[in-house]
Amino acid sequence: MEKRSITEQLSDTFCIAGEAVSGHGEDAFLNLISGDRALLAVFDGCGGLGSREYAAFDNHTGAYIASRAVCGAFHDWFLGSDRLPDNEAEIRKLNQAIMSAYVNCTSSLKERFSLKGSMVRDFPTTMAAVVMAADDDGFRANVLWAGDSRVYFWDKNSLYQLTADDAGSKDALKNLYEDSQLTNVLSSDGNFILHSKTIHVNRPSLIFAATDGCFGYLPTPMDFEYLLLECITEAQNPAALRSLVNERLKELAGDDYSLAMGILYYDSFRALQKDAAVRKRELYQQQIQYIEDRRDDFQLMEKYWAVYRNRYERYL
Amino acid sequence: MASNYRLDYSVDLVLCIDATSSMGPVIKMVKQNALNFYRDLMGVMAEKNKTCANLRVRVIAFRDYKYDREDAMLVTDFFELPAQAGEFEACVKSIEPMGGGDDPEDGLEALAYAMKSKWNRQAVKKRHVIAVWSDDGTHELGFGKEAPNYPNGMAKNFAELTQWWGNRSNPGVMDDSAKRLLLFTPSKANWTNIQAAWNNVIHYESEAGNGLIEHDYKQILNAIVNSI
Repeated sequence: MEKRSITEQLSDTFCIAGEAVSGHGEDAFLNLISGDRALLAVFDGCGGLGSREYAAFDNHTGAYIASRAVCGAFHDWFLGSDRLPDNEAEIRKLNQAIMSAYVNCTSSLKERFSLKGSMVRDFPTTMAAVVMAADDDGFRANVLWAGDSRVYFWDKNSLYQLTADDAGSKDALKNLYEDSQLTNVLSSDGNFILHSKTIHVNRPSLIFAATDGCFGYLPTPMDFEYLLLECITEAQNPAALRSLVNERLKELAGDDYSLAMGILYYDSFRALQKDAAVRKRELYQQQIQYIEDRRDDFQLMEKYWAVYRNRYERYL
Repeated sequence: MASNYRLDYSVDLVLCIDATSSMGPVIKMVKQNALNFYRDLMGVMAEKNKTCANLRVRVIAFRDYKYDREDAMLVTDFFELPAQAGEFEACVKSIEPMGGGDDPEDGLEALAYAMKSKWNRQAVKKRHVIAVWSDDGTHELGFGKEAPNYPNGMAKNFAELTQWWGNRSNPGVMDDSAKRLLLFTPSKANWTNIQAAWNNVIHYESEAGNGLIEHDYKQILNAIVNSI
């Protein structure tokens, strides 16, 4: 197969973001193409762990500063490199870029803080990113993450979660209800792990990074896929899709939300809609119709989740 | 349809107030802070678009078993708010500083009582918050065990109480995801041990929160609400 550039393979990309409290959003996102690589990334400053405010930063919270600082570091690393972070050396470079950004944050601090304890950390943020580069038969998608922001992949058969949450449980349904403390987030103390995995993609699909504000306020993971399918089938074009997803998430989210989306290998938006319509019908018939009016019945949701997760967790 | 769904929260608060004589200068402020705390917490939740469907508050006023005997531990059931707001306010306002004997108090026993509250475990999204106000450190557990009213089944020492609190791998008596502990206490034993070793803790180092500035208070409320 002839090698196609990344821009030929990416039909479209877009980002959406919303703030729970206007002007105080603690998310950040990136959507970049450089050479033959593309990047989609989201960052969610951890409002609980990072509620400490810093006079040196205009009294913004650590969460607010962290997502932006790490987003900037990621941006600079991406534009300054021509590789995928799928090897130790490149991940080390990315880590160094993140820690340099953190040094810039902490070096200007002179305050003594009265708040201490295990629920207080300096500049904590999650990160979920996918860096894509063309290869001989499609492209490699290198996924990086820390925390509970996620990278998803969707094809006409299912939605797939690519990143395992750094939370109390790896069960996506459980994590919707338990609100466990995160077990791994980026922070200026450097005590974090940047997870990495690579998948190969060569078929019509979607790949996207999302903060928990996107999926954390829906009753099940199936509902998140269904919401996206509703938006795709109702929208007239990619711009309308972006508006519609934004509108739906705004209604639902009790938090900031950010989503960076890539549409892959679809010759037209109509072709994507066609696949989405078939999948939507299937998902409704197999799952949604049985749970949509019985949201208080957790056991019932667990029963349908048990079936759905067989495909959903295929890449975990 | 998915978009018609909205998750509600259930919040249980247990307010542990040191009611010994040394609290005299600050007890008025602490009582007011305790009364404001639930309102402020709800206010911040509303600001962040989080709906609290059920809110309950319980009060524990603690002193010193060895010296105060029958008055050592005053414990209420949960008040359902806003329905029982009047009773809750009257209860907090009735706390008077007295007794206490030596400097440290039986704050760990109060914490043990708080942990074993009848938490709402049914709610889908829940938060169980314990807040402690004290102007001093704590005795070791069992310091007042000679008192006839010292509770049976109390944790024998700090290590056992730490097990009651639990952690992610070995959950204790509370729901590990839902629990939060907020300390408005000085940097004295055993509060500093708790701050250093227990999960889900915020410690505002002060004498019963004295001198707590609006800026720090807002951060505390945000830390709790944003972790929901």
